[in-house]
Amino acid sequence: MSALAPPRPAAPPPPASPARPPARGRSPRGELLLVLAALLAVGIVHAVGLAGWPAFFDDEGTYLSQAWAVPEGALAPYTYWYDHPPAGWLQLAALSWLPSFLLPDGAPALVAGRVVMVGYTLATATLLYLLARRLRLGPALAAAGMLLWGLNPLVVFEGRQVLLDNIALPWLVGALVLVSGRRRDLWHVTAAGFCFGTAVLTKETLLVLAPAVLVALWVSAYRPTRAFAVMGFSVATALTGATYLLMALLRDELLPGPGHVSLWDALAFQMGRPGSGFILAEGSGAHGTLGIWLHYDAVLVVAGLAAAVVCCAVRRLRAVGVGVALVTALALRPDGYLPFMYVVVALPLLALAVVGVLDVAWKALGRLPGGAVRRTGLVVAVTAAVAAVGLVAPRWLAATAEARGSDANAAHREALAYVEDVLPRDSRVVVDNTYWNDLVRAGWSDDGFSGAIWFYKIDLDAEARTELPGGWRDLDYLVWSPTLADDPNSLPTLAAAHENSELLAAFGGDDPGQRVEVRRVVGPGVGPGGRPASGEDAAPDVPTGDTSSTGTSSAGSRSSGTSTWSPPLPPGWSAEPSSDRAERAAAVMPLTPRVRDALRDDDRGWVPPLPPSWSSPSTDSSEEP
Amino acid sequence: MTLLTCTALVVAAVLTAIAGSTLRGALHAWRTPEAFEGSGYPAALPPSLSFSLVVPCRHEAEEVVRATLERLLRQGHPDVQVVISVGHDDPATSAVAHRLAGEAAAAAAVVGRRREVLVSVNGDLVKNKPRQLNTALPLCTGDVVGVIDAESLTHPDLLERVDGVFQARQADVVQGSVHLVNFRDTWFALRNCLEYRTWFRSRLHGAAQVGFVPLGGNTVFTRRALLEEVGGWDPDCLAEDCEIGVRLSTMGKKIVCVYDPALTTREEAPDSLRSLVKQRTRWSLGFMQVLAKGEWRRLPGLRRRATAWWTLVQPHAMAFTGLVLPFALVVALTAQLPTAVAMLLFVPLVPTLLTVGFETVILREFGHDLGFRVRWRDQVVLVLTTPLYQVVLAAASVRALWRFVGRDFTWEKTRHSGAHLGLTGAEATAEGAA
Repeated sequence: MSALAPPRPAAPPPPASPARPPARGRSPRGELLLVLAALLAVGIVHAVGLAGWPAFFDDEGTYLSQAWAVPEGALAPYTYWYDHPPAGWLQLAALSWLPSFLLPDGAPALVAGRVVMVGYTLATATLLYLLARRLRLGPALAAAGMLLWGLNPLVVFEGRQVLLDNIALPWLVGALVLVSGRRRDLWHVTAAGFCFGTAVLTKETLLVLAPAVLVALWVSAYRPTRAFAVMGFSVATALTGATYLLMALLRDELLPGPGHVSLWDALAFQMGRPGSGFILAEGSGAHGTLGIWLHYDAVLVVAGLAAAVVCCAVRRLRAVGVGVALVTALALRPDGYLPFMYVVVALPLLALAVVGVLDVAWKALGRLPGGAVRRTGLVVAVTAAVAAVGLVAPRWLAATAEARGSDANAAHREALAYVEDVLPRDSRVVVDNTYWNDLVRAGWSDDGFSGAIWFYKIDLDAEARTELPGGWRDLDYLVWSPTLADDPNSLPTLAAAHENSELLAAFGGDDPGQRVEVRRVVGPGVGPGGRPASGEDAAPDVPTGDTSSTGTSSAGSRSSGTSTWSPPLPPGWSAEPSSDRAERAAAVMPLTPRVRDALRDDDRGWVPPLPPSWSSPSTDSSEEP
Repeated sequence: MTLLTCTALVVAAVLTAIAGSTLRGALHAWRTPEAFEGSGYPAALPPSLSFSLVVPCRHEAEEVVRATLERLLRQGHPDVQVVISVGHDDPATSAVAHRLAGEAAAAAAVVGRRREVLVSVNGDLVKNKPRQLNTALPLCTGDVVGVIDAESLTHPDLLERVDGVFQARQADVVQGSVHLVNFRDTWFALRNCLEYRTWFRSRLHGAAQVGFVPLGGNTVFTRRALLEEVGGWDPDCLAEDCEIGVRLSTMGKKIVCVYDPALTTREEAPDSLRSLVKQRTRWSLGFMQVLAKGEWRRLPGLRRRATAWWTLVQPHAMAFTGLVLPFALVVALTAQLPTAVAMLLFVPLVPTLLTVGFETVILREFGHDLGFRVRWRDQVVLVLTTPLYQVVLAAASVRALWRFVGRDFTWEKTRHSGAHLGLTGAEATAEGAA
């Protein structure tokens, strides 16, 4: 070794640092323009129309409400129970300044959240380009990979939503970029460990990709110091992950105990979650999820899977192949739990696999013996490329047009405006989390139980027992969205409140997938005496001369509990569906019951496990007549 | 609350910075392929220089010195003079030296190369290594003067290759590498071996790249003319090797540090905790002397001065970290701090635990390079004794501070038992100079 070693710089004085890999021969300015143009395209497709499509999803609001709690010194408006590590919404909280630059005051919270997601998408796209370059793809194919991912309708659908997976993505791709560096700097690799750890702390399922990052590291590492690189990466990842355990430990919530949640309970719950069936079994929930993915874009999923097989055989692309294989293997468990955002983490890898295989093929073509053979190869390649683009482009254009022009959130917007205009601020309004932040900003209490209330918590948070001693009778209004209507968990207090409520206004027509009802809880009993009656506060807001036949009477007193009370409706609101709006919404995606079941989340299914020592607060109220 | 947060922030930042920069320095050679490959010897060249090797001895067992001398005489280099340096108050070692010198003279005639063995006797009242070296210097006739500790096993090709470094790099000083090898004797020997490994394999090369080299005291070669020009070693410094390195660095001399596992000089770690603490106290004290002397302030460039300052302060800083970090963690766990503040106090653990992780890899590579089988048990011992060793280092650091305040600069000797010889494991009771 010593005899072959290049002369090392001696000291003093230190000469120029040892030879670095030579700078790339291509014009850096041209490459920069290429990347900026591609980023612009991705940014436009993701940003234009993000308020209207896809439909707001409860989890988005959940993460935003948790981000909202962070400056208050909490990890969630309600008891944080270790459903996910908090890194995702800590980032959302840190970036909350971003949308305020770009949006008018009063923009809905979910729209602001989605603006941040565009930022994450652009970061991921940039890093994806860098990764492709570090896997020795040319600028053209690297940019093609970035566009294949960024313009993909499935990526637009998933990427616009405020999902932890989207927040984790740049950290994952960033880790891959750092381990694939040409300098093979130990500190870059260690930094990759911190990045990957952050990705896992953002969305814990990304841990499944650890072997893929290690493969990328192994492939690019300098053999004599490879053990150092592996150690640096592993320890950094482990230490980052350990902060989660440390946090639980410091909060005395690591292990189960009476009267508090624990990380242990949450893990036990996650492990014991019911699966959604085998992905290839007709009729299973997982199969429905697959159907959604393929509905938006089958090209990337299918082509990427095929390309990933090839990638496994190519050393420089092996990590990509292994990553896709890991994600696929996890999805193919006979009865795994497969939420619709599961695919998010696979998509950049699938795109890389496709362009990676194209790069391999292109370079193989370049090595063909000259003349006629190479020319024929070139013609075939170009024809295939044109045909592929021709096949894909129309579908994608149509899909992005949908994404740009649809308004799947009209009912949400109208219901929110109605609630803000009409309902008194000191009332208890039960909502799904897509409304929570906006109601709090509009003036409802943020303490979890005396203003805006996430519907889940009235049955599943131990605090509800003390905060709402009267059960459903302590509630004033329900914003009965499809999220509440379809919830698979039986929530007795919520059901009782709904049974004892009357319709004030409805939005989104009769389609149960769209319809949002604003309901007032009435009942035989009387609410807590000291509470001001909601109707009295609401009365001054009631506009006169509205168009609704039901909206003319003045608001009745809450305490009367009478069913003759009529909901006030502002002008322009109709309790009846707007048929063209319903059609528009339905056109966005065929929401068959099966697909709707599959779309129905993820995280709302993550019911906090109540320790045995807790009696469910809901049992009290469910005994009521 | 705010005061608490600020304190936690400052403590966490300081500890993290100390542990982090120590880690960064330690891993220099493993950081990039260029750094890893950049520390090797240049290709061998025909010898063109003559060598004088000074072997400072004090209260040494005969077998230890004999093994060292035999290896030196077996050097493939054609022109080697060995000067065994002893003190006038140490007749036993003196007798050993003269006996070995006589035997060597007889053997040298057979070999047919220039082999001269002299004995230099230092008569100073104060006894220490730099004074013995200074006494030996006038006897040296070679172009290059090397210092080889009494308990060092050198590779037969070492001088030829060092000769090549002088020629190929136009070096003024060449620092070879030294490893302790009796890593399985005690838990602190293991950690001590690892320290040497890290220093000579990596950290030293990083310092050399910046242009500040605290030279080691063993397997270090300097052009004789240069030594004479600077007046030899500082007779009162307990880290005379580091001190002369600082002076030569300040003069802008070309110091080349080279590493090759085969050419590494092997010696032994102290055989008792007591002598380890003494040795470490002496180094810390020596570094403090160098710092106080202030030669390093004349280094050109802020970066070099900062590196010099940090290199000299770092042993104390790490000892401080070793003391404060456990305290900070206990506070974080027991005082009812806000979660975020408590977590902040754990941040210094990040570089600390990274260091532990990297150390296991360094030990593995050490075994691989030197042909030892490192077992799982060794790794477990290494990891588990991390805090214990911190306590030892902290004790030495405090002791050094104490003596520095009391102006007590006497030389505490390190016992050489010959554990590195792999012979009988003889319990030599003699104590040596280095």
